[in-house]
Amino acid sequence: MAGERKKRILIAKPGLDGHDRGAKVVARALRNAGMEVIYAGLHQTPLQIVNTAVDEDVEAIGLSILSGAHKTIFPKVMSLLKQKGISDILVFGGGTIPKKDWGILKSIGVGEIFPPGSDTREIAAYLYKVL
Amino acid sequence: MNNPDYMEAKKYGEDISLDEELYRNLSGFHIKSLYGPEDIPKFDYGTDLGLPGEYPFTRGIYRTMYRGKPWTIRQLGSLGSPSEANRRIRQLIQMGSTGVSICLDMPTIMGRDSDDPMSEGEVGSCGGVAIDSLEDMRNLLEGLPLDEISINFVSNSQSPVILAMFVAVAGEQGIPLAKLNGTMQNDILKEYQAQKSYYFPPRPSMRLTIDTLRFCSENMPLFNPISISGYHLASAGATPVQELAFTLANGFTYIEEGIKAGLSVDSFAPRLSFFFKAHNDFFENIAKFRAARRIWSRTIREKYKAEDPRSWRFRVHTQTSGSSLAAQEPENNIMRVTIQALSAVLAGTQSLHTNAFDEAFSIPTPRSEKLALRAQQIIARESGVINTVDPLGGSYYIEALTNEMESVSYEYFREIENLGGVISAIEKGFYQSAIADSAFKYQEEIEKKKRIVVGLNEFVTDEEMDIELREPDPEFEKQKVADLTALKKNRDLNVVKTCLSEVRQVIQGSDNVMPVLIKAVKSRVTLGEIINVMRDIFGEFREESIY
Amino acid sequence: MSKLFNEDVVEEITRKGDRWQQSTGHGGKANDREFRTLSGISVEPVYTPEHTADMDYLRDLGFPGEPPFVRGVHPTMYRERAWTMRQLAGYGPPEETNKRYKLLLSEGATGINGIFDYPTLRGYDSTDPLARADCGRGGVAIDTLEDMRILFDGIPLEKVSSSLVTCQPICNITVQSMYFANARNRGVPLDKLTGTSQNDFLMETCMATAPGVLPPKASFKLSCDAIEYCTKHAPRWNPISFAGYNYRESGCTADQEVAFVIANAIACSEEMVRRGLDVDDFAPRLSFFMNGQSDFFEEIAKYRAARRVWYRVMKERFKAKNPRSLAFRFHVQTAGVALTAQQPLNNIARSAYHALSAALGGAQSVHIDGYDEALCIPTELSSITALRCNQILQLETRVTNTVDPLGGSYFVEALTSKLEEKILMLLEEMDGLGGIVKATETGWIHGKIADAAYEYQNDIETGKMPVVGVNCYRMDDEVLPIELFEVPETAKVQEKRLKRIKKERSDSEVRRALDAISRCCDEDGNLMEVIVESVQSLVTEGEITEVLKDKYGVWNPPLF
Repeated sequence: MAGERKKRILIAKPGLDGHDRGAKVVARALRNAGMEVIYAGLHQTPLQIVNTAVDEDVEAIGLSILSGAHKTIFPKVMSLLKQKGISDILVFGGGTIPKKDWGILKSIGVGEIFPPGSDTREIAAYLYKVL
Repeated sequence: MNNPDYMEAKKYGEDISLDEELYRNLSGFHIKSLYGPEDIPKFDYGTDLGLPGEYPFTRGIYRTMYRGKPWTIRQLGSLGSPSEANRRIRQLIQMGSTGVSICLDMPTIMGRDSDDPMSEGEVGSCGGVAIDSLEDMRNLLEGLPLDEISINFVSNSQSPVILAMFVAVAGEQGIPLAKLNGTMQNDILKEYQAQKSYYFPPRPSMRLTIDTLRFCSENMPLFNPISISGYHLASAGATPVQELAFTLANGFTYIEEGIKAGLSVDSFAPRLSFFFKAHNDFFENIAKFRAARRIWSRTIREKYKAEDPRSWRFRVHTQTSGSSLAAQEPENNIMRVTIQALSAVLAGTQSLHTNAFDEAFSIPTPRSEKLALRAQQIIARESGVINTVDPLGGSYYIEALTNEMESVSYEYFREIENLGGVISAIEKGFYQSAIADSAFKYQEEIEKKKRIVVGLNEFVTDEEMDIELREPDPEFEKQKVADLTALKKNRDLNVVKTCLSEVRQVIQGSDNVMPVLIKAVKSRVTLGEIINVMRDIFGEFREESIY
Repeated sequence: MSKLFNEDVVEEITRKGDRWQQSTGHGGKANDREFRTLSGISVEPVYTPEHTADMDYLRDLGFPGEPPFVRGVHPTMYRERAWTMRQLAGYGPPEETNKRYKLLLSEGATGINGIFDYPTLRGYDSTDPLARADCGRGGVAIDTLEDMRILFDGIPLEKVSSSLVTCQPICNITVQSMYFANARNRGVPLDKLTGTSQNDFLMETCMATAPGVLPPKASFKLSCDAIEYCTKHAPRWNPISFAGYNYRESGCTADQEVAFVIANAIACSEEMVRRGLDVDDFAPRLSFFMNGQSDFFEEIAKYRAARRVWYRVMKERFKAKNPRSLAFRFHVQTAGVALTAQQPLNNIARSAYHALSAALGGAQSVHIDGYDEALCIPTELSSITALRCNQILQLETRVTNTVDPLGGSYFVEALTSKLEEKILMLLEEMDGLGGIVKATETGWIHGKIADAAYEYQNDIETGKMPVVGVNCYRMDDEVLPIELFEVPETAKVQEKRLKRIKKERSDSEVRRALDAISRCCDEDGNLMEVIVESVQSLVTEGEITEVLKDKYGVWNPPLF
């Protein structure tokens, strides 16, 4: 469709951990799949992430978490979005997040979780489907 | 049962063979169907290989290698509180481990005390040890024979403080510094390139590294002050030849910085050691180590004019590839680890860590850790591969691959030099983009099935698996914070202040920071307090993201 | 001449090597003990061009797929066709084993490796009083053609290659006949069948010896009958697989393992030529079954040496012309004897590198033992894990990227030549004794193996040969952490089926069948020709055995 804007996605790596291989690979794969990707870089706080998301006018935020801090970080991001009255930004995630925690995350509104070994094409397909 | 038909249609091997592109190793070299004498045309035995323990050390850095002394079995001891870690380390030693690696928790890695607001929820994370004060180091090392076993601190940006604490505890135990064996990872360059646990900009960080180097070369002749690590580069996505070239270039940078700081090359080069990853491509991995030995010795001798043969030796610790392990059918990882370990041994490693088979999805149990140790013992005691040095030497394939590894490395050296050296290359984002390129390419190959991981993209079973995390224990964190609060209350604040201002003064000048650090930690100044002073002066580093 | 280094270069290297050796010191710690391979070959501290100075590239190595085949039997080896992953499977009654076959095939196995229970291997029926306790143990129980039908039910015989581990010729002659008869009944022509039967007379007379077996000559004759039959009717079937694996499990050394299989193959070839067959008609179908033992490099060198020796034997003694006759093709199974019941998961590490050495040695197919091998029949988990090991080697380690990756290694080449030399000496010795059948009759082979086995055990007990978890790094509190496999009830199932069959079959047909076999023995005809027909009458394996033992007598192998 003429004039349709590219999907804008923010990829972020919250927490102290610096293992950014996965986040960067996903960022590039989504870019190659035709999306506009903003990579927020390392050591981002939930507030910084939400602010960037607003400033950059993104449709989705992807959080990469390998440190086990997912149960703290996702709820923080979700509640910050709520506080700002934002309901149209999808939050999804990846990294070492046990399946047993997926239910909790999804119940607070997280869209989908992509564990290690996920195919990047599936991530792109998912985003095109839901956005 | 669809399989015979499936196999028939697929013809298994044939399907794979048709695509010549598939015959590339992880570094992207094209692999020929056969190697013969014509593939090493200018081969000169004396110049290219020589004899073990002799220049250029291609065949091994010691004359008798494992006939004389087996490699050090060094397992990563992880775990929670310093005293719990101490118990696990003792266990590993009792099972036949001759060295041990200690990793730190995320706050310590990031230079924060347990009571720092940024540390909340991460104290004791990832199975690492939380080190705030000398008290913690004392609990960690209690009763360990520090002059007999070799301890490897997986410590980087915070190394000057950790080293100060180690020195202080050894002093309390009455062990002379000259007898201290062990390693401090202390490789700041790869932090900017891959691991990303840095605080300050590269140049002040390098200055701190050189201070530790000088301290160790003057006082701790058996201690390895820097373990130049390719492992993390490889984990971040670097190919084996990038791992090789970037690691060596980092090594040369430490040499140059040391020389610039007025140290004689032979006073510290013998104590630099390396850390490589044993990845899945068996022969490529072996060639990587052999090329590393040859390049290191030639460069150190010819370019940096080292005269002590010990300076020419490329000593290396190896860990099997955690990232090659699959969560699916975890028993398969025992084989992966075994084959990788075997390749490291055939490559002539000095020490080896084998990963636990269940670590891709859970917390290794004492049983899985023991199995990992056993794989090394089986190779050492049963396989007979230790009977002769460099058993693959002369193989046309291995020699050709070693040569190619070497020549591609020199191309990378030139590229880095053109960027103004390693630190400039970091500042210009060279490593970030080179490594991101490789990581992306690898992922693409997995998705297109050009690379196979059994259980992941081939022979996939729908086994229900879940990841199990080492969740930080909130009780432990509470206790740790309480202990730290008590410690901070019970010390002489004036002394603390004096120590911190001494630290500030010294780092603003050019004297070695180690003596004031040792004094400070003895006065119960904490790691976080010291790093905060340094942050104040040096500033914090932010990288520009490239992907 | 295609020497790799000219003389003055070798001389210089030798001189430097000597100096190095001197300065390294013979009294040093490294030489406290002697370094030897598992088979006792002394190993130098370092190998250089000095040790391969006599090697002529074209004469001694050549190119893969070309004489002397040292670098491999195919030009492109695993690049074109990965080794076959053949996992042994067999236990209980045939319906149970059938399920396991299907599981392995659906998980990517590319062939079937059928093992049989002890009564079947020894020629007894499941109902024989001697058999009952062992029924279904160590393999699947087969009594009649009906069992064979059940065993391969639903498995496409024309597509799947089946290896029948019918070790003893007395078992093979009947069980292989049943396999062929079953194929014919299903409309699959014999010339479409691919597979292998073990059929090795040394298995009957030397290995795991029991009193009252067929005498060596008779056992050898049965073995040769099957070879002759297949050469004429089932040209894609390998009618014999010389069981070096079992010789090695019984305790012999690497060089003996190769020398015995080759001596055995020489005897068979001589007999086939005597029966009027052309060497190039049967030799391409002779195959070898080798053991992947624990000395990594010795095993690699062993496979390479075997190829060189076999090439010369077939070329020089038998004037074979077909390249397939000249190429030593072999299957490897990782050594069961090297596995331990203590800390069983350690066996995964062992088998992984045993299998790697087979791959680096150029094997055509590989079976990897289950880690619970020393304790029980492999469970589903352990046999899938073993299969995965093969897949990881092929797909992840990239050792298949190039042919004979170790070719040129001074150590591997020197060890290959050393093993070749020892194998040739043994072959010469056996020639002097009148060949392997004679050497068996006199007990010479038994003696050789017993000596080596004694030494092996002695080395473990004295700690000279470390075995982790057994004589070092023991864990006394180790509890069995794995699930053991329970053999399903077999004797009753087989007894019931056999009773029904005996009631339903025609007694006169059975009588006629047994008479035909008996007559064939008297006329010294080819027994397989007769037995393939006989089994249609549902005559049992035990009934056939009785006739054979009646005609040929029994033999008690020498005990040591």
